[in-house]
Amino acid sequence: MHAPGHDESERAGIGALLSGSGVTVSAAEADIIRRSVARIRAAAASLLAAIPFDLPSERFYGLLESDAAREDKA
Amino acid sequence: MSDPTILTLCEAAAAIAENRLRAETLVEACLDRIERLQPKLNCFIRTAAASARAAARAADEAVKAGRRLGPLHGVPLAHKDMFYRAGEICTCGSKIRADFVPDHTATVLDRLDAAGAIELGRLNMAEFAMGPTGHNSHFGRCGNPWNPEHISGGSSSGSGAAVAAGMAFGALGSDTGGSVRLPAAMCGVVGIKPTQTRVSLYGAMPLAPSLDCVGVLARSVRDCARLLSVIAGADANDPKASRRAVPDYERGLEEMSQPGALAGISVGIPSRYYYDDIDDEVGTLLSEARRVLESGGAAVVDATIADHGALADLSGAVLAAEAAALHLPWLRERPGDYSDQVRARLLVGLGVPASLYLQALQARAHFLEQILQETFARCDVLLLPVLKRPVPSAAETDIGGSAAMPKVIGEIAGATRPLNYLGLPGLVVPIGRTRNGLPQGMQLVARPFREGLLFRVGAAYEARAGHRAERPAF
Repeated sequence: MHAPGHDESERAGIGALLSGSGVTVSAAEADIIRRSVARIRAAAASLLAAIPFDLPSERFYGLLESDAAREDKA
Repeated sequence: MSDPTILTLCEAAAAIAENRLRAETLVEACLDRIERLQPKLNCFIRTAAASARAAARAADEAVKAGRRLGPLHGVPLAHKDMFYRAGEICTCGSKIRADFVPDHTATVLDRLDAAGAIELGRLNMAEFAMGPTGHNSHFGRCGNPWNPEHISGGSSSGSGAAVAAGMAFGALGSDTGGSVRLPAAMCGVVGIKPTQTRVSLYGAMPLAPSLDCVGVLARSVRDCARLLSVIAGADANDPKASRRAVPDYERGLEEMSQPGALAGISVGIPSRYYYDDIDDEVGTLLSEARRVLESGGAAVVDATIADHGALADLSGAVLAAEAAALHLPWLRERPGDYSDQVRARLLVGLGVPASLYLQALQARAHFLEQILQETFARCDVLLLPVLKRPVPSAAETDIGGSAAMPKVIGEIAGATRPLNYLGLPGLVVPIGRTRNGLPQGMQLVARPFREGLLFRVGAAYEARAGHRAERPAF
């Protein structure tokens, strides 16, 4: 549950972010952005807290290859 | 042969190679079908009839001369209009690139050309490959061949519809959040999104480079196996393309119709997310598919997975952020040249914080490791839905950039997006039709680079289920 005024401040924050990008955004589009980003933030909050500090992004590609190589040997 | 377009791609290739069928006959049959069905379905953005006829004549001459033939010699294909060919317009389904002429050719097109394939033209698609329904406000909506009032799925809308309608024997598509798998399932054809780095992306329009994947659609599992064998592999022009050797994906597929062909293979059914709130009819078709796999000797087991609903949202965040970065100059200078829906979806990417985007990329390895160690330790393939409900009508999904848009798109792509995030291969095979007459597909998922296993399981299913013979009536 958000505190009163939370949506307003979030909307203002997104408005400021987008105006800095040089892109024109309508009120309806800003609302879609606000709701979509809120959903993404919720997913991130539930999934990303436990990610190890030292995990490099590149490991993803290494893992694709190494898993296949391990399976080949098995 | 009364209608050669009923052949599969591999049957057509064999008939040409053995001089039982001329490539010219095949191309003319496809062009005739395109001319007849284009007004109903709008699959093509443009055709290349003259060059296709010339290529067919050359292909027939090569057969007569006894020259060495490639595995797709004389076979007519058509491709989503986002694969570059030097000197030819490539619209990317957009107004912004209506006159764009690339100066280089996509690696996948070079490889199809070298294998002897003939290109019939360019297929309709969602604007900039961003949309799961098949709507396109610039080139018109692509209709579903089973009922044109329903959506074909997207973004490779023309690829799914043209292959299902017998206008082409196979097609390239791209899959960043489900764009091969959704039209394959909705149009009743086979489609594969390979492992993230299996196929070169050089010369394919980028949408979100961390998630983009080139895939293929065709009318049988073996057809897809052949097409993937041709286009996969290392490419000096794409450093991310895997250097792993490309197996002969067709090997062993013939034997998959034998009794017990799936003995020793375990099929996992996830206990959460994918089957939550699934439509009864779709659930029944998937249960029947499960029984067919069991009849071939497969063991069906429960599979544990993480919160893939949230993974779908993270996948959406990466897609939106990368697409927005690529499109930023046009969003500033030509905002009115986008459809409302694509502009609104791109703008979402500008609202994704850089820290969250980078965290989402960092976490991919964690979630990939988790599914490999926990889920695929207990099963060889996962059996998932593609779409959790019957294929909707065009009117139901004509939502433009309205407030309903994120929810509608999220529901359609909810079962396909997690795979792009995890980089895993997924094969879609038709599993029958719901009461509205529209097809459904299942999604078989395996460990990285196990496309061969997916083809074998898909072929075993196909041989037992008999859906391959089904074709929309015109």
